[in-house]
Amino acid sequence: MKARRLDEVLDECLSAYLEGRRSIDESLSLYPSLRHEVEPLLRTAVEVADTFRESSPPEHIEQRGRQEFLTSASVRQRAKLLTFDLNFPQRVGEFVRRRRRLLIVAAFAIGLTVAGTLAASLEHSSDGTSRDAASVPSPVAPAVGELQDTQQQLWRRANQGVDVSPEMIRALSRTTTALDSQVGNFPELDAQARVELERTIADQYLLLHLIANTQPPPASPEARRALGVTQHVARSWGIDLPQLPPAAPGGPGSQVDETAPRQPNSATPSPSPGNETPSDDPTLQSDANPSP
Amino acid sequence: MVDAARAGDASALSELYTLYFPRVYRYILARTGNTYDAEDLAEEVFMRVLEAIERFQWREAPFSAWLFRIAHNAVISQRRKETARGRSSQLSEGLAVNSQGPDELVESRLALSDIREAAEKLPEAQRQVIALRFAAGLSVAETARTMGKGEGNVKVIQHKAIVKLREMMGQARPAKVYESETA
Repeated sequence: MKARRLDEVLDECLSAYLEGRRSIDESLSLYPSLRHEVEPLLRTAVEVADTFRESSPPEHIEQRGRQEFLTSASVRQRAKLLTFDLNFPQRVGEFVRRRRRLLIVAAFAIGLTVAGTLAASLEHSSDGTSRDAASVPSPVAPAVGELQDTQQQLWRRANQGVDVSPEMIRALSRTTTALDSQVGNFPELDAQARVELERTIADQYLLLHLIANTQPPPASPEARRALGVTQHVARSWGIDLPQLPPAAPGGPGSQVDETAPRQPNSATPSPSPGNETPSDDPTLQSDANPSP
Repeated sequence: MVDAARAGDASALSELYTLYFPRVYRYILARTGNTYDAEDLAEEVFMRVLEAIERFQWREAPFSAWLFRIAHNAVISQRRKETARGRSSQLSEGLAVNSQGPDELVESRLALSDIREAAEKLPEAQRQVIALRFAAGLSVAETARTMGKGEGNVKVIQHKAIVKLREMMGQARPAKVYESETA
């Protein structure tokens, strides 16, 4: 305990002297009971400290060292600036290491944004309405869009095995007839519009065949009537309809499949367009020329 | 000032040099006892400071503690080289190179010689405390941070070192010690 006290007092007196706060005697007067033990140690310590304090470096050595130090610092600073760009990859790597967590979150957020945009774009394009409608002349674009929308709904229901509404098929027929009247002279349309209209009518033809062969009445006869309208429009525009696979004999689509070989340019020879009338198919006769 | 020096500010670096070069020099002189070594090593320490100052962080240690660790490492490195060369570490003729006058020089050289010889016989921790506290002028707190010890421990080491130095120096120069004690 006393030794500990002596350590503290000795250091307190020594620090006060070295920091210029008190002289040795002033410090010793504060600890009269320890003066006898502290004083010789304190004077030895002060002598050692003063001896070292007097040992200053020679002036010319200090100046030379300062010049070298500052010159070296300046050279380093210039080199640092010059190599700043050269170290760019290293700094990027260091930044990535330091901010790894932040970058992961940022990358995740960017990824989500891109994925969302992409998904929205794909959904939009799969709908097809705007894209397709935009590629045909503006006067007929609304009708094309409406036709494609109805086709999409019918495709979805037919593929899912859900009963198709005859009214939807009738709406498809009406829109097709309206489109025909709006198109006017088909060959005068630009190539892109012609291709788009041709594809729309071809899709519709396949769709209606599917419905006619898979859906029960009243959807199937309605689909056959709509097929007649579609064939009529195709003929008036002078476009080819796709060739259909042969239906199973006696199958539900046997009546409809009879129309397939009659398509122009189909693999099976067909009568000339002029001889191909809706009356060729008894199921289509009633709606061969549906009124809008 | 240290932050400015880290950024490469020339005036801040100059101030750091002015403030610390004499203290580093004295510390190395206390550890090596050779003014030539002290001059060379002090300059070397400041070059190492330039290389490392960008990596200096306040939370690890005060600047003085960081600086004197570099100085300590330089002394240890120098000592290893000398050992490898077979050179004995003695208080040498290098002490004669000083800015003091002839009479003062002789007295100072003797005193420093005594201190140096006595300090050489101390354990390493006590030598280090004497060099940091009395030659470099660090506080107990700074000394403790430099050595990686507690302040109380440094005070104990300091006390023991002074007791031993007094014994050894008293044998070398009893008259002067008695004079100062009776003064």
